[in-house]
Amino acid sequence: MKYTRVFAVIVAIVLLASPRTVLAVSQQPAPLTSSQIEHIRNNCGDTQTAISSVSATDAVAFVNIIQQLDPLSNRLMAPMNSRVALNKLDSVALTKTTVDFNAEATKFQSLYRDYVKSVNATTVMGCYNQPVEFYDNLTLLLQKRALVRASYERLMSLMAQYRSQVQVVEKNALSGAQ
Amino acid sequence: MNVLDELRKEAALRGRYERNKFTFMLGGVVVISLLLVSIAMGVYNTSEAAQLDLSGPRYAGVRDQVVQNKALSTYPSSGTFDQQSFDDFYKAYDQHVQAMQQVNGYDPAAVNNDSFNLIAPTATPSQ
Repeated sequence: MKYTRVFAVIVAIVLLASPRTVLAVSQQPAPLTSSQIEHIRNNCGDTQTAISSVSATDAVAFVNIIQQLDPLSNRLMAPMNSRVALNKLDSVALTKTTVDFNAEATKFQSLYRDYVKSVNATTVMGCYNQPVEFYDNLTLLLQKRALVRASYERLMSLMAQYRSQVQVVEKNALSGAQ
Repeated sequence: MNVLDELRKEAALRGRYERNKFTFMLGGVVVISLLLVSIAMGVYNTSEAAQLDLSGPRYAGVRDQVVQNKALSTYPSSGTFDQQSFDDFYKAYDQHVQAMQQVNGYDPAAVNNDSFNLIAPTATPSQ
C-alpha cells in the first residue's frame, strides 16, 4: 500500500516535470481536415527544405547580431556610463538601459537556442507519417521565431533609447561646461 | 590439488591477457576517446559555440553573408566631456546600430505561407 502510494507520487512528479506533458497541455492540436492533412503530407518535404534554408539565413543573422552586442555593451555603453559617473553627471537612466540591454541580449540568445532546437526537431522528423505533429511543430517553430524577432526589435529599441539618453547627458554636460 | 588448479587457471588468464594485450589497449583507447569526444560534444552543444559555428555544409551558401567586424576601439572610460568626445561616441555607436539594422534578422516575410506551401488554398484550418 505504502509502495503503491510512493510509486504514484513518483509517476505524478515525472509526468508533471516532463516537457512533453507541458507541450500537450498548452498546445491543442489544430483541427485539420483530411484533405489538409493529405496536402501537408505531400508538401512537407519541400517545407522541411525551406525551413532548413530559412534557418541557415537566421544563423548568419544570429552571428552578425551577436558580433554587435558584445562591443556595444562592453566597449561603448559600459565605458560611457563610467565616464558619465566620473564627471558627476546623472548616469542612472543610462545604467538602467545598459542593464536592460544586457538582460535582453541574454534573453535573445536563449530564445534563439530554443528556436534552433525547434528547427532541428521539425526538420528531422518523418513528416510523411506524422503530418499533424509536423504541422504542430511548425506552428511552434514559427511562434519561437517570432519571439526571436521581438527580442531583436527590443534590442534595437533599447539601443535607440540609450542614444537619446546620451544626447540628454551631452546637453547637460556641455551646458554645465559653458 | 586445488592450489594447482588455481595456479593453472591464473596462468591461463595471464597468458590470454598477454596474447591480447594490444587488443585490450586499443579497446581502452577507443573507449577513452569516445568518452572524451562525448564530453566535448556536450560542452559544444550546451555552450554558444554550436550556434555560432557556421562551418557545416548547410551553411556553405550563406557563410559569405557574415559581416567581419573591423578593429574595434573601446571608448575611453575616463576624461572630461567636450563636443569631440560625444562625436567620437556617436560615430562608433552609430556604426553598430547601422550594422544591426542591416541584419534585419528573422524577417516574418521569410516564413510566410507561400514559402512553406503547407495549407491548401481552398481550406484554412481553424487554429
